[in-house]
Amino acid sequence: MNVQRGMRGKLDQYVNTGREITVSMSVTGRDVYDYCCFGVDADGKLSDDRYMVFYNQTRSPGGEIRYAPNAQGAAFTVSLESLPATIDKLVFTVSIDGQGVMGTISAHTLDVVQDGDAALQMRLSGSDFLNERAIISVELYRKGGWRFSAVARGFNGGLGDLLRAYGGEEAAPQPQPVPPPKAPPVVPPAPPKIVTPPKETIVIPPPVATPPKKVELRKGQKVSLEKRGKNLGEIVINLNWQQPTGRGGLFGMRPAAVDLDLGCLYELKDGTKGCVQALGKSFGNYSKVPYVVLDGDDRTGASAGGENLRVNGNKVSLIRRILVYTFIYDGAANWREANGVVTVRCADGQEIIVRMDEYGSNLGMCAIALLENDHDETLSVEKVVRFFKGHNQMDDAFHWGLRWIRGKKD
Amino acid sequence: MAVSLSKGQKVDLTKNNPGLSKILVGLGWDTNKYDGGYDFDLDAAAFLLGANGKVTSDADFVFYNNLKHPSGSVEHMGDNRTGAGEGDDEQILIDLSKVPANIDKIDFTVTIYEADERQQNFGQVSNAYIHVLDDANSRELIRYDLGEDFSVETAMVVGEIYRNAGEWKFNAIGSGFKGGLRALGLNYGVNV
Repeated sequence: MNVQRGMRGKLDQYVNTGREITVSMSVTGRDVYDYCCFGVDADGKLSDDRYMVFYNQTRSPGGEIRYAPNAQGAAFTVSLESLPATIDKLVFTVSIDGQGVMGTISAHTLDVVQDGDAALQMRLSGSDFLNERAIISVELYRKGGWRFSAVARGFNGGLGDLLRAYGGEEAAPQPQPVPPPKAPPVVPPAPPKIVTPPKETIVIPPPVATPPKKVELRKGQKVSLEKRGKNLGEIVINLNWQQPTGRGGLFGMRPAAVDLDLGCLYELKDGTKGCVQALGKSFGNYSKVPYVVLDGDDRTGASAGGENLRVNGNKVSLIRRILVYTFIYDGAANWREANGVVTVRCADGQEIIVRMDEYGSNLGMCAIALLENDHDETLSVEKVVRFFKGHNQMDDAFHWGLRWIRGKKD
Repeated sequence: MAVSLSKGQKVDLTKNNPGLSKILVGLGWDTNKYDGGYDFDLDAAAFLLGANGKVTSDADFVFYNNLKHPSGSVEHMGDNRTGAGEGDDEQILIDLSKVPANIDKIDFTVTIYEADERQQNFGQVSNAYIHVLDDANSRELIRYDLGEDFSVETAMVVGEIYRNAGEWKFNAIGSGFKGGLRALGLNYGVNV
């Protein structure tokens, strides 16, 4: 049977739970994927690490769960009947070794196989996920017999967050099997409160503006940063991009390096306007007007950090709007090679991601995101990604009203 | 002691509880917290239905945008946006004495808000229940735990109260289907 995400059912309708089954998992994608099956107790806790079966511990104490890697992924052979009564649920997970996310995979499959017959088949792709770095594919659990739940959901924080959800911890990489955890379980931080817009009608629901911990905006989508403490704190707007990776073209020529400059137009409540950017050395000020400051200039994009604008969120009530932009100072407008990403990050870890995923333009300037005052409490972030010839044209489009003269870097 | 029901079971409501006039229908659920696109927002609603199983007017559909029935007999106590916390997530107050005579039964539903857009379904919802309390003393009269039988559905009819020989009875329906609140509304004859 084809299993959709969220599906639950009785396992013995599909396989004989009195005999061994094989849970076969695979992920196709550009990252390295690890597969794990662990048992949890009736409280949903990972209380016995011996029942955590993966490449470093390939079998449970009684051989009830056995791990075998294969070319596509891994297979777990499971004898449900032999499992101790303390094991209430088996959790089958995929985690990414590295910084990739599940949103980029091309396929994830999970089959529950018995006698060579794939009785249950789950087929997922990258579009089923976003920024998760570890997922629960399927759970098998006791509830009047064994049942299955096709969870297919995960955690952006990776395997560590996933295990913490079960009261466990991720062991540091080591060659030996994982020892039982000695430290008390780490309580995961409470999920952020979700701000949902008022519901107007059920015919055409209004656009959703729900910022979870990390959210990637679609073009035109606008969400507000969530204010959790008394103050919003420091907001870091980071621009990161890639240098051309080509190993040399047909004639051994490398694509030209790209230098992206990050900057912003600001407008304060009192009417003060201006721009913050390296060109012209308008670096801004964090504690005084305009409460926005630019950290240095990364002319290569090579530093992992990229370029940062820092906004003083505690002064949010003084700010009307901030337009974050980038322009190519040097080199051709090769936006595809640069593959820029802007991340708006709050001190508490929430992130709003704006990907510059339109490449057609040969114009050298791109307005990426518009931050606006939201009830003097927080800032909303809207994905813009519109290309312009230069500052003047962009200013016009957003009715900023500054006067522009040409400048150049030293 | 509350009566615990299983799917499809029908029990007397007013017959066993003489003098019962106002009941509070509480619905609760837990959602699993994973990262990814969106939070869960489940909504309870009540449909006031005639003998033909359809609403008489759109006002017979009591939900987050129409919190009170014109007769004053059914009142939605408001929308809980997150499903967090213990106890009922949403409540509907019913004054049985005010239910218009042409209303034969009242169905209680739970739907997932924007389920398709958010790629969500009841597979990620656990411990869902409906219970009926006597509003006068908050005593639990009937309870129905929905168990684990829902998965890819995005809407469910949890239960209903209906008239039977001058009394009100409760039916633990527990049937789910796809299509969310819109499909439910159409099914009951609401112009959505």
